[in-house]
This record gives sequence, structure tokens and C-alpha cells, in this order.
Amino acid sequence: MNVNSYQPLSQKIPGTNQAKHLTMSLRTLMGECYSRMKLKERMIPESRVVEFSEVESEEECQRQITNNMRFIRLALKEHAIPITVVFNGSITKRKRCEEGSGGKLLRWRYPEFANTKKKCSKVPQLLQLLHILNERIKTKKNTTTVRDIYYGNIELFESQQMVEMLFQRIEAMFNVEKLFFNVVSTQKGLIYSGPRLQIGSQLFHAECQLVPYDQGEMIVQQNQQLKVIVLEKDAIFQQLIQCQEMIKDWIIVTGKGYPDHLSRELLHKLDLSLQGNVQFHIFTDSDPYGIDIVTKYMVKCPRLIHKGVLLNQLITRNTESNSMLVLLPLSLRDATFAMGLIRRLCKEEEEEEGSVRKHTMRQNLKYEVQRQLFFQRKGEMNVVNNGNVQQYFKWMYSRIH
Amino acid sequence: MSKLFIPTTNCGKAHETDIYGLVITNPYTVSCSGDGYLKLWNNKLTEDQLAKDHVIKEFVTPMGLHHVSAFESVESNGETVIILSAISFDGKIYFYQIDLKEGKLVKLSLLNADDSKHSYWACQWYISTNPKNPHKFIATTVQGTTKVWNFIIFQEPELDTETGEPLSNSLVYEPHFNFQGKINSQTPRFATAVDVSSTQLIATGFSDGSVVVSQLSTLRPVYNFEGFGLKGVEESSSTIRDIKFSPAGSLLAVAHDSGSYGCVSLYETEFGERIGNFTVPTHGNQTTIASYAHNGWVFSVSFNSTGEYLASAGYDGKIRIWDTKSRERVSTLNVNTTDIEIEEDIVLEDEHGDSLEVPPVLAVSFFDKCVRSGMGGSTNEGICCVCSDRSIRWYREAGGI
Repeated sequence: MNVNSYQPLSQKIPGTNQAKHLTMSLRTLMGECYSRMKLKERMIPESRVVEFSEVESEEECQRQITNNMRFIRLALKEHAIPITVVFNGSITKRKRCEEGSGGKLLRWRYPEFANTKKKCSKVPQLLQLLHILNERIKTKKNTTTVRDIYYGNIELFESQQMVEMLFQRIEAMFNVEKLFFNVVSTQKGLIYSGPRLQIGSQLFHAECQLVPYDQGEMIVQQNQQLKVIVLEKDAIFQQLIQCQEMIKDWIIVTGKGYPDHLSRELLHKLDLSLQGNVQFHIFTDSDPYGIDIVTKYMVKCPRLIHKGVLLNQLITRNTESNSMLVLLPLSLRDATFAMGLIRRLCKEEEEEEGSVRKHTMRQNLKYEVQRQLFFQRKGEMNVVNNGNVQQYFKWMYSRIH
Repeated sequence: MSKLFIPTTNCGKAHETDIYGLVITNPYTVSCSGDGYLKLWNNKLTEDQLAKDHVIKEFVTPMGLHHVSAFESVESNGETVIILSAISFDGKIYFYQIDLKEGKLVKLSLLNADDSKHSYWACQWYISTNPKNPHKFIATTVQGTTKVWNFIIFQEPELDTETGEPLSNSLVYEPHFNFQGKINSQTPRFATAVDVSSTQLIATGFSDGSVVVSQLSTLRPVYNFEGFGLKGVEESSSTIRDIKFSPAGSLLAVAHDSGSYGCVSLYETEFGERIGNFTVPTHGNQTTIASYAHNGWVFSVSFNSTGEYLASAGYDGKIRIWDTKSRERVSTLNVNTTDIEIEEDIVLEDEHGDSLEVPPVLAVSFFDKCVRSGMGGSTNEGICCVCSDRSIRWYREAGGI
């Protein structure tokens, strides 16, 4: 966008001397401003500030959005004055607010002069989203997912991740949870339960289902063999649930990579409602990211134990029939990530006085990342036992008993 | 001709987890491990003393250590100076001086703040025999740069302004580094191994399978060796694991992967010619494509003091001794976890319950005559190795007593 095209705007700034403006030229401006930054600042027209702040109730939120929208419309359409949206927007803000120190104020301008579309379309995206949310509160319809909102205007939002991020901003802006707007994140995780498992009003039994939103009371047919298996990968999950006989007493959960809030919450609920002797095991790829995923689950579910797949399992479980297995090399990025992960595990260890179990768990995770780094290798879970996942799990549990 | 080695002593549960680094100095065998400890095992033991009762332990960092190397020299004032450098999994270098009288470690800080910011992986000392030339310290970074420092043990003497002669003859002990320069890698890649020869050459090995040989005085690359071994799915299935110059500096041994096998290649350093591979004779038609030294990665190689023999250690739980002239295998040592003298120190399974019966050998080192005490210690040389069953073992050459 050309800066000059907005020159007329500056002439309409109320309260400034009209006569002076008529004689003002780029040259005089340049004379006044000795640096490029200053000149740019000077040439950007003044804008009206629209402020969003914390809300207590739905009515208040609705009122604030409606009023601000009207104000913005007025400024842009009638007065042709640019706007600046000001709000408390740092993502970690809510915590800080509780401590009472206040968060960082964000200022988003419209129109924005920038060279990427992403920067320019921030405010339109935000306003569009606020508009939709306002409608949602008004109609009090059933809950909608983030995905639905994204598909409502793909051209504007560009990615579902973008909507998720804006949501985090808005949550911080009003200091509310997403559920306040009757909007929930799209379900990502999958659950399969061998024994009958009732969560809230939903029944899970011997079929693959999405991790439920409504995580009310949990009732499960408990037996001695009950196990909870967490998997990083959907592909392994799909293979494993084919083995009906083996998994008849297992509850299997996958978060498909890094787990979303719902999957972690589900694990937390399972942890609380199942007896202490039920084992929770997690299986991930043998790379630094796999280990990182374990740490993510561990926060909400301390009794989770990392069982595989380990580098040396990949090596030894493959030699018998297929000795030519070539593990993937660790890229430079993987290596730096692994180093950072070790650093983080040690830091957490220092700061937190957890149980002995948590301590050894973290220790073992650290040792595994060390091995990955030293060997400069990583491996996917799919190749274990020459790709025979069932055989791997059979071996794993015949050994444990 | 065969060269036999017999076990002299060993120690199980030497560290809590995998032992990654090993170096032998005159008074101590030094090991470092993922548990973050540096341990100094006394070399001069009487027949009835146990290795684990005569060890100096130093906790360095919770991140864990993977490389250790030693500087050992008798200085012009007649004192023996031994300095250890160990690198942790988060890329930091730690320096310790061995206080020989007290039998303890004294921490030194030799790197300045700027140099400490980088992440290092491998290191090596160059011990100058000419008092006019300084000692050197060489370290590789994760990004592939090889850095060289001059290591100066004594304070620079104050010179008389008129005559240019030093004012006093007394030497003030003040070990410090002077940065000499660095050898950059063309592309960022993980520098996994480094060694320096008595003929002033530096060899740096990379995770993508190439080795760059440079001059120590000018830091200019002279040879570039690459593309050995069997190519796998990725170019870098031939990661360099270790490189060593022979004591006279005329040979360079490179341990690298070939898929899941381990190879050792030999180069001569004057003209940069490849001499050949060390290979085990194989029968049958399954393994004819690869000429490999071990049925598993080779983590470490070591020349004996005359350069006639080379020891290699592999993931297959074997140590092989090779004749460097005929390039024939003269001996193989099979490591088994049940070798450990003290029964309760035998580690049969790792923390995940995987078998360690044939533990991978992670490092091996020759030591010269008169280093270890005990029968035949003064007439025969020996080898020391660390294995992933957390053990350390010493052997000596058979015969001659």
C-alpha cells in the first residue's frame, strides 16, 4: 500500500490548524523529521483508539462488542479515520493478571501498512471473529468448533491454527475461557476402550471414537488386566485396534502427535478415576519430539510410564530377520531440540520436588534423549519388529508379566 | 599372528547410566557418563584392592557428560600437569585439574564468556613437545565449526623494556587460553569427532559422513574424505563415530557407520590416500555387499603406543584388535555382562527391562606399559573399555611374564 494515498486522511485530523496543513508538503515534513523512522511515524495518520477489556458477564461482553463495532464502523465509514484496537492480549496474560501485575497491552492498527498479508489482515480477522462470537452468544445455539468457524471464511482466516491463535488472544482480551462463547476446540484425540467405559452420557465399547467434550463422571468395568495405553501416532492406534483379542482389557488413547487439551484432560480424568494398580503406558516415536510429547502428557497424568519405542528396542527387535534396518539420522534441528529438551528436563527436576516415581521417570527420559543424541539416530515406531506392531506389543507384555 | 588379551580387573555399576567417554592418564583411568559424573579410577592398585574402592567421583552437571579428554604433560619446571575437559549434553565444556597430591579435582574456567555461549560436542588436546610452541585445545561445535585455542600454562613473563629479556626466571602457574582461530564448515552439520596428530594435523568428522583434515598451524583444510560405506536411504547413514591419528601421525583411522554395520577405514595422512578398510572375513552370501568391522556401529577406535595395532569397539559387544600393517584382525574380545567379578554389580537389564547380556561397547582405549599396576603391568600394554551395562573393564596383553 502506498503511504501517500493516506495523506488526505491526515488533513482531517480534528483540531489541527487547517491553514498550516494546506501548505504542508512532503518536503517540509522531511525537514522536520531527521530520521526515516520519525518520518514514517509522522506520516502515519492519527487513529481512533478502540479498547477491549475484561468482562464479567455475557451481557457485558455483548454490549462491549456491539458498541465497539458501531464505533469502528463510524470511524472508518463516516469519518475515514483509521482505528487502533487496544487490548490485553499476551497469551500468558491470564496468569499474570491473577498475580495483579497486569499484562502487555497490544495495539493493532487498521489499515495496517505492512508487506505481508498476514500482518495486514490481523484486525479484519479479529473483528470478523468477534462478530461471529457475538452472534454465538446472542443465539445461545449449540456449541460450535473452531474448525467450523475457520471453514466459515477460509479466505480470511487462511489456517485453522490462525483461528486458534486469535482465540487465545480473545480469551486473554476478555479474560474468559473459550467455552464462554459456546465454542470448543476441534477434537483431535481418539479413544478405544476394550471394557465398557462410560464418560458422562457417552458409552465407549470396542470401537474407535473421538475424545468426548463432555468429560463427566467416569464409570468403567474394572478388572485385573485393565491397562491404559497412550500412543503418539494415529497409524499405530489404527493398527493396534485391529488386534481385538489382545486389547480386550485395554483403554487406548492417541492425541495424534502433540496432544490437545481434551486428550490431556481425558488422561487426567482416567488417572483420577482408575484404581492405583492400573498401569498407564505411553508409546511414542524414538525421537526427541516423542520424548517431548511424553512430558506433555506427564503434567496431567503423573503415573504414565514411557515404555517405548526405545532406540535399542528398535535395533535389537529388528536384527533377527532384517539386519539391514537403517535408522534415520538425527538432523541438526533435532539435535538442538534434543539438547534443549535435556536442559528443560534438568531444570524441571531442579524446580519441582515431585515424587520418586516422577523423578525416575524424568531421569529415564533424559537418558533416552542422551542416547538419541550420542547415537545420532532416531526411529519411527512403525518400523519396530519389522512393522509388526501386534508382535511388538505381545513381546512387551509377555515380558512384563 | 595373534595378540591375546586377558581380563585383569573390572567394575560393574561404575555409573548409574551409559558410560560414553573414556580417557587414560598415567595415574587414573577417567570415565564420564550420562549421569553427569566424572570418575577417576586409580591405575595403581595392589592385588587385593578393588577398583570401586579407589575412585574419585566428581558430580559435574545433571545434563550428563559424553566426551572426556585429558591433557597430561611434564612442564619446564618439572611438575606434572593433568587437566581434564568434559563436554555435557547441553554443549558446555567443563575443565578440571587433577590435584595429584590431594587426589582430588579442582575446577578451572578457561573459556571466556563469549566462547562459552556455543554448544560444543567433541574436544581434544594437542600436547606440544617443543617448549617454544604452545599446547592447544581443539573443540568442535554442534554447527560444525572446529575451534582452536592456545593453551598457556604459565603467566606471560614481564619483559625488561630495554633488553627484552624476562625480568625473572620464576614461572607463575596460571593456566589460560588464547583463541587461535576456527575452521568453518561449508554447511551447518553436526561435528561428531575430532583428533589432532603429532604432525600438527586436525581431523574433524561429521554426522553426514565426511572428514576434513586441516593444518593446525594455518587452520586451512588440506584433505576432504567423504562418501565411504554403504549408502542408505539418507546420505548420512555413514555418520563418523570416532577418528584417531596414529601416535606418529602417519595414519588416520576413521570409525563410521554403514547402515547398521560399523566400519573402520584407514587413511595415510601425507598424501591423503585411502589405504583400505578393516574387515572381518564373512561367509555365506548375505553379507558380501558390505565390508564391515563390526556387526553394529563402531563407537571408538584407539591405536596402541607404537601404532602397530588398532582396537575398535562396537555395538555388537565386541572389541577387535587389528594389525595396521597387514590390516588383519589379530584378536577379538567378546564382552558379556556376566564377566563382572562382583556378582551383585552385574547389570542384566537396563531401566526399561531390556537385556544387556551382550552390552554394546561404547569406548575403548589402549594404555601403555607401566600405566596399570599388577602382574605384567610393567612389561605388557593393555586395553580398557566401557560398556553400556555400566561397567568398566581392563585387559592386558597375554604372555611375557
